[in-house]
Amino acid sequence: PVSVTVGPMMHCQGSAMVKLGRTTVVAGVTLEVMRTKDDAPNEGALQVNFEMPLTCSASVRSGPSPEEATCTTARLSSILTNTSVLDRSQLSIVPGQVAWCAYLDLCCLEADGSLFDAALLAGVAALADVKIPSVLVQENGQVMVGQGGDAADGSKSGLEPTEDVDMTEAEGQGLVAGGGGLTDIVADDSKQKLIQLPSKKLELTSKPLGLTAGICKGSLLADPCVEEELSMEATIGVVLDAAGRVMSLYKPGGAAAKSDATFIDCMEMAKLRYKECALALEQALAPAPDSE
Amino acid sequence: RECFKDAVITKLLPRTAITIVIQVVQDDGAALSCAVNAASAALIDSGLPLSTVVNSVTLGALEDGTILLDCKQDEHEQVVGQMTLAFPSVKQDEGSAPVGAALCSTTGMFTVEQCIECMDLGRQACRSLFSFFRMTVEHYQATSNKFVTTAKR
Repeated sequence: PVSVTVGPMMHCQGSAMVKLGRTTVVAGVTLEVMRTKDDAPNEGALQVNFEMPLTCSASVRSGPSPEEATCTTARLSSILTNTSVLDRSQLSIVPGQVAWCAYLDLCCLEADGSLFDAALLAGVAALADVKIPSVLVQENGQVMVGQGGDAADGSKSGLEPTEDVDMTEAEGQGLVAGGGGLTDIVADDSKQKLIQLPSKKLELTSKPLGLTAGICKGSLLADPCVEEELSMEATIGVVLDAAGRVMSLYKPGGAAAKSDATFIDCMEMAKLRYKECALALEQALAPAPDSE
Repeated sequence: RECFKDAVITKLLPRTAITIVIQVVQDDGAALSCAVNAASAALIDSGLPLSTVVNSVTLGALEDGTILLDCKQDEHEQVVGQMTLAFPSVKQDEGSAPVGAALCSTTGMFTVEQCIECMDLGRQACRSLFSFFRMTVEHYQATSNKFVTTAKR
């Protein structure tokens, strides 16, 4: 049983909560303005962080984060930063100068097996829910972030107000969202034209979804719960995109698979799972009102 | 760690912690594969009882569908998908299904057919790697007096 809820958190630009059986993961996306990197001047960045607090499972102890969290972060990061999932040029504000950095934070609330699948689904749903706020780059180089949505407020320094840009006093003091001290971030020469970007929704080129299966005595068991996972000889994780291409095939050791047929079966099962999850995801994303 | 958990016969070594430390000296692509092979060689050298020797290769898939075996760093950047595979060395009886991968980790995109092709190629490559391992170990055994336990098949 898959359940996806989109937008449970009000303070992030995008959020989602996913329950796969009893495994629950919450994901939130926050956007911050940053200077673009030299090797990717027209792109923003995506940082993924996955946490497993003590409450999620009896096997998690206080101290450094468990291995599973680090592995999951690495896998999620490599899948979601793949250009075929998210075109990071959407996150660009002023090419070559400033762009959005999206911080995707995932938190596992309950770990009952197939943690990676839930995390991936939550991450994808949260990213699909992201509304990039409107932004105004002033002549003096200040980047001002609007709330997006409601009626425009007055303008500053003689700029023409547009209906998309809403600069309330609280936000528009030359501070960018979430990061005080980032004024003058745009190192413009004196007569740069000011740039105004309306709020928009982040588009995902494809939505990757995964399936974890365990191998036990030669048979494949799809979507094991935590007790089943402990008695597995090995696990295989497959991530597919909508076209059925394999975005990730991950088998971290354990007993060798009996033959290639195991992998093929796994991929077939993943396709079935894709349909089920994609449907849940669509239903969750569809009724979200377009608040522009 | 998962990869070698089954390779070392830990039942014969109670109350023993085996630590494998891997240091990457130079990365010209396929660092994970090299690390797995290095760890395997170290395990053979250590004389610990092993049920199998794990060998690993990395394969890359280009956009036009060509599969490259063991890419270098510059080929690394051109591939759309990269797969690291490790296979255990198991005696192959005639007519039995070929052994599946012990370790598989991909980045980037593959089609299902490319995956299977990669596994086939990977298996053959690992088999030749294992013969090379065997040859090297036998050479060292002959030239030095060190007692080395050859891997049980």
